[in-house]
Amino acid sequence: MDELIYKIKFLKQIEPNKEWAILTKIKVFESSDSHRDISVIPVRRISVIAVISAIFSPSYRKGFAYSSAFVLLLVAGMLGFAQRTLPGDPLFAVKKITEHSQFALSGDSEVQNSVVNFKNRFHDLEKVLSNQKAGNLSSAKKEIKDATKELANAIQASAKQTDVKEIAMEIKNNQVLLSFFEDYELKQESQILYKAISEQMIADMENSATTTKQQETLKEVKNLCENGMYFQALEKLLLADRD
Amino acid sequence: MNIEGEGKKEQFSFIYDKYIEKIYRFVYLKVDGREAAEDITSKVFTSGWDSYRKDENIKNIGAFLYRIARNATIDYYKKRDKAKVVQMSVMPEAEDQKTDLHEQAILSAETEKVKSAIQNLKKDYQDVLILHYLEDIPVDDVASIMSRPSGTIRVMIHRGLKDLRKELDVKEI
Repeated sequence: MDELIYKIKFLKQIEPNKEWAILTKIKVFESSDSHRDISVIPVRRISVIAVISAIFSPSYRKGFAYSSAFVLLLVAGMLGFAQRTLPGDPLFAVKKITEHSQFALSGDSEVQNSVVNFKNRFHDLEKVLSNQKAGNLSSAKKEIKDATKELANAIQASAKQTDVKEIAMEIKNNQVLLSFFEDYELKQESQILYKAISEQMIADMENSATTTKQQETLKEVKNLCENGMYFQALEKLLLADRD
Repeated sequence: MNIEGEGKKEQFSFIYDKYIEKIYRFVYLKVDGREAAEDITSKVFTSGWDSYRKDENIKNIGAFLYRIARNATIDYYKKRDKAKVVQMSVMPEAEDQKTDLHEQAILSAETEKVKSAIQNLKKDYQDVLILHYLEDIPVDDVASIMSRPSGTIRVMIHRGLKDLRKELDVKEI
């Protein structure tokens, strides 16, 4: 009988497909939500009319004016189409160039721009999964890896603590994102990001920790970081911040 | 969604992570192939989340999800059997493949044999063996899932194992 039970237990090797499991999780919560919960800042759209108006001057000859208008409309159409592309699509590079131009013009900090970029790439990965575009998946993963590293670098260079804490809260509360980090070979990049955020928050805490409890928390958090447990350190820091 | 709603979502997210593999495996062992298993499992958690967010007083969420899964597989059999009746009357009988080729490649031959043997058992026997031996659920919890007394479950486990042995002996001949 023991052998039979052992054979039954051997069936534990049956597992669901990881990508399917993550996608299903999104769909389960989406089925009850009327609005998406993930706080993605929508990509700001370029005012194409403004671009055309600026370039178009009344002194041009008619023929040249019409052909220029046609070219500009074509470009505008391409830009509009590019906004809907995903990593791996031919016009995705155009979308990224557009986004980076917006960052340059926005006047926001490097951290804020990196956050927007990170959220956009995360949103792209979600779309790739929900549309089951297997061909785009490796590109989407690469994009979010790069975005994660970029965000980590921006955080390390940043002096503003508010940015860092907000990012930390968003990441911690976003179960879908945490699942991605766990399941999509993004562990290394996510560790770099958690490390960058934790180090910033530790630096802030070192300047402001006055009570014994705060000092103890600081010690625990540093210990966690020394052991490479950056996510746990982050959770502790956020809890301490709430207190 | 308000703060309370977000809290429930986070809780159910943990519940999902804890049970997705178990529920999937339970369903997979009872239905015909990965696609059907995925479809049913997805419905189980959608239904589970729907109930959970409306009423947090679910004492044993695991048992609750398994109950939904059991009922979902029963509905699946009813629809499948109806479809087979229609199919047989208008079309040549299709081969009833319990596992598609892709899954056969993944599962070892031995596992495939056991899976196939379990699928030949009575539905209730399948349930008790999977829940108790594969998912390590205590007899009392299995009884709660199946709405039967614990004594009955113990008898079913004994008979289920006996029938499973017969199935496996037949396959080895």
